Amino acid sequence: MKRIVFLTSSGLAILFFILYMSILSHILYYHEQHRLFLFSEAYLINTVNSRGLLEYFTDFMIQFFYFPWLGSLLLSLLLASVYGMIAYSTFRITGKTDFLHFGLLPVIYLFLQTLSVDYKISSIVAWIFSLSIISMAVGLSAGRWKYVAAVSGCLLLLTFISWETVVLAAASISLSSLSAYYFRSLKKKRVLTVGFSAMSVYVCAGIYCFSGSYRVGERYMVLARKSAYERNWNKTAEMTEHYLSSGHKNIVMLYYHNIALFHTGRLGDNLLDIPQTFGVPALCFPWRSNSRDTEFGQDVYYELGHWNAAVRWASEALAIWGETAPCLINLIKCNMEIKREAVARRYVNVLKQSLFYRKTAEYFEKELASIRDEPVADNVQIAHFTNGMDILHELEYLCEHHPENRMAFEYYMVSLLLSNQVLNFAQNLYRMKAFDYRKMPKVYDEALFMCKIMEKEEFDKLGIDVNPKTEDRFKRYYELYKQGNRKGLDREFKNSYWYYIHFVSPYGDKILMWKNTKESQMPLGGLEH
Amino acid sequence: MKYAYFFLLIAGSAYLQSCLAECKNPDGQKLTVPAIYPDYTGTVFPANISAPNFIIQEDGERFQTEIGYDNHIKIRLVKNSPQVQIPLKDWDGLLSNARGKTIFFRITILKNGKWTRYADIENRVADSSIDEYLAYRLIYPGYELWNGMGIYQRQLSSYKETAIVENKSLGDKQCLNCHTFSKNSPETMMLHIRGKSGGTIIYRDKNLKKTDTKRPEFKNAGAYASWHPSGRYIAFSLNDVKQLFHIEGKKNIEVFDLASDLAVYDVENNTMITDRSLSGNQYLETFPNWSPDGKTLYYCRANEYVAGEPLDSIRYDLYKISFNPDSLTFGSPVCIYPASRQNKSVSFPRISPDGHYLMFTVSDYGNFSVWHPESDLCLLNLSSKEMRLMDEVNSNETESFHTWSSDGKWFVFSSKRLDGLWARPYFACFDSETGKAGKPFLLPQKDPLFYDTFTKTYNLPELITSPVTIGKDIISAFFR
Repeated sequence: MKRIVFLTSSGLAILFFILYMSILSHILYYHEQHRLFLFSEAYLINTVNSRGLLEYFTDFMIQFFYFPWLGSLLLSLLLASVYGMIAYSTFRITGKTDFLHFGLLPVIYLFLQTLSVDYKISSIVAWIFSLSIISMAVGLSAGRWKYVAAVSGCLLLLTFISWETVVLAAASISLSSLSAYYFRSLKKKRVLTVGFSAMSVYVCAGIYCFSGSYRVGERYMVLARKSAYERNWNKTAEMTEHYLSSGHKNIVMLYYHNIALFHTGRLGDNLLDIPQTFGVPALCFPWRSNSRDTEFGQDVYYELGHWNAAVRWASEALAIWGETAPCLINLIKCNMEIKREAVARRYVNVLKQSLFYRKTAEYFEKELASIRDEPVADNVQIAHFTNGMDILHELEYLCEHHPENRMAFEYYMVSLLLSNQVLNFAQNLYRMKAFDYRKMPKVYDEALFMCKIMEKEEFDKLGIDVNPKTEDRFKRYYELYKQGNRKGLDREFKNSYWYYIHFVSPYGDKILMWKNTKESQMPLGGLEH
Repeated sequence: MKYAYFFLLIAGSAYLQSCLAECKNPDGQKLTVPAIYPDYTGTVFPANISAPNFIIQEDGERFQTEIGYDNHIKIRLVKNSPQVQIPLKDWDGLLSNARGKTIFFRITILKNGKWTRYADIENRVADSSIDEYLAYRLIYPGYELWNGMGIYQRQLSSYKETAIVENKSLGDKQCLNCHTFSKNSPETMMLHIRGKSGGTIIYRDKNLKKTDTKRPEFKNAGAYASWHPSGRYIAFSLNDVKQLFHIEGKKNIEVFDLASDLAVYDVENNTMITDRSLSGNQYLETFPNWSPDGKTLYYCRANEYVAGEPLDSIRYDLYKISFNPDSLTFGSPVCIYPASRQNKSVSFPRISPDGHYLMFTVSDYGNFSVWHPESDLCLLNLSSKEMRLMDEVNSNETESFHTWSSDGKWFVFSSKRLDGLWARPYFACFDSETGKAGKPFLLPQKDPLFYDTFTKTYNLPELITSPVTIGKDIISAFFR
């Protein structure tokens, strides 16, 4: 018995470990980023009061996911131990082994559940607690007392674990015990056949369910965010491109893709290599009061140096996700930028109470020593408001007041292009002189040529030249367009601005003149401070 | 081997000696008081407040804190840590003996082998007690979204905090706000629950009911509330609240009303009445507060908002209007403080229980003073009409929402003075003879460093005389 159980448990642990270290690595990362265990009495009391003791234990375990190998090892051992404890309890109750290995069923079920990042790891912890108590009860006691101990243990568990889990854990042991008892007189030769057949069924069913439940998109999204968070922009661009170029439409991926394109110096040239089907929102999320958006929305504003918006989004993320490491770090960084030392220090103090982010907190603490809590210079005579819906207005403001901000400039230009405002784009292109562009980015050139055709009088006033090669390419485009040769256009011009306007833009196929409707609805400035 | 044991014994006893070492006769004196955090110096404590634990912000190897009054040292704490956590039992004993007297925190610090005694920190224990409980909402300092949220109560004579109601109990994590009590009593109270199946929960005469303050005849639902002293009426402001964010600058957000009116809700008849002078498009009326005799309603009023108008031109004056509870009629509005003439704006008027004083918040413009760092508490003597900024309690950061205790000898207010972001409850004594307040002190916590890691804000602190015990009934009423 021991050998079979040991071999099966070890096999499961190794298999899970390999999976969590490879194709499921994003799962552990995601959980680690959404929970932060703090070593403080206040955290214990608050967690137990608001989410329960089980979540406290779960958070304690999840903190070790900080190291992928440790997290994988821990989760693999826990899952494998579910089988081990059922097999052990079965043996203690019946004195026999369950050759049908019913103990594998909950293991496979729990493992498959973990394939979604939204799955609560606390369910696995609940199973472990339930099985541990029952196993201990049946293992330590003799005779009828073992059942009394098991029932008492279950009652104890009910104080912090849902009754469904306790019942399911007990049912798994019961099923396994019944099977062991029923097949107690099985001959050795048949044992192998029965065991092998049962395992084969589980393996096949497991693989089938795994392939159906595995979410590639989720993996790409989590890892793209991870690489963006680590500021590994080449990797971010690579991941997002790989995912989006296979035909998937995902605004979050496109959003990170665009940030990565800017940081790798390719935004103006490669913007339309991936169809920008979402328009401007794929550059900066508009405020939609959507709690899920808060997880990502802050990133672009931080990169843009749009500190107030970054603080706003990060604060909303804190309200939704609580004191997680990314939330705290974002808030520390933003508040350091706007010289709110006392506020940043509070978040540093919280982060310092964690095990693995302590060093990060200490680093910020050193940085904070050089920051004095002082108000951000109120050099703004006219108040400029944002309602989070009109990013063009905000980008224009950033360009106007921070002409050295290259990202603000590129994002402003690209926002104008994506919202079909070609003339406005051309009229703002003079800001480009502040930067060391060696050549006109491809998409800009295509848009300029379009402007030249459609708004010739206005365009001529700007004194901008368009590359003759672009003119030639447009002739070819127009020829195909007139022929209605969509395949040809797809093949040759799918990443051109002309194609975007005609076939992709969510704002229709018309060039728009500047209409800042949102702005006109907002109150004017004039604050006297 | 014998020698080894001998030396070990010597070393052990020396260590023990150092651990037990306390100072009776210091080697030196300092004339200054030591820095402590939170600042519990020169203040007046109610006779029933929990021990104000603090941390000594001076360098040292060992810290001795003696606490007593006159010539009596009642508590002596000697530790290697600068954290001073006063045993509650000893503190309670001290408070009961030292009512009306000055108490001292005598701190002596061992540094480089020498004990130095600092000048005594002096505080006073008042004759009176403060209302036993403080009710407040705890939220992260977000702007629009929330997840977990609750209204809690803290027993002020201990550190015990319990939930009155948390939104996790309400299914869809609704927003809970504007808990309001009549005359500091939880026997008559209300709170709003926003969101799906939301409404206003009203508790009165041991009966709980849920009502909808959004009536067809009014454009907006009830927001800020004030109980009429009779307990039969609630004055509501009906606000259309908007918020905008600054692209740059220290202030991040502006919260303002596009429209607001006042109405009075009759709890018994479930009807809502208003008056032409309290509603309509011409003015923005908000923050109602009844006088203790129930015959006057105080409120804030500004000219209507005109689209495109600069937000900092919206300024609220302090108004009052007479009310006849028998005929349910109002008189004419009277301006009692035209703040807008001084380019100031008034919010949160709160009248003292004896009806002699009116405390309110003054900021540069608007009504949502919580987000205005310049906002300060102001006091209007209703008899002499003298108005003054309460410099004894104000700071450079936001002072905002405030509540009187049931006897008017204390008040609590929100202040962001610790860091400029999180509102924390501060208490101060109030002398109705002189109209002066004492130096405010921060709500004591068991861990003196509590506020350094607590990232939620205390919203709408309200003093109440006894605990709210109807939390479960509120949840039942919500699902009804």
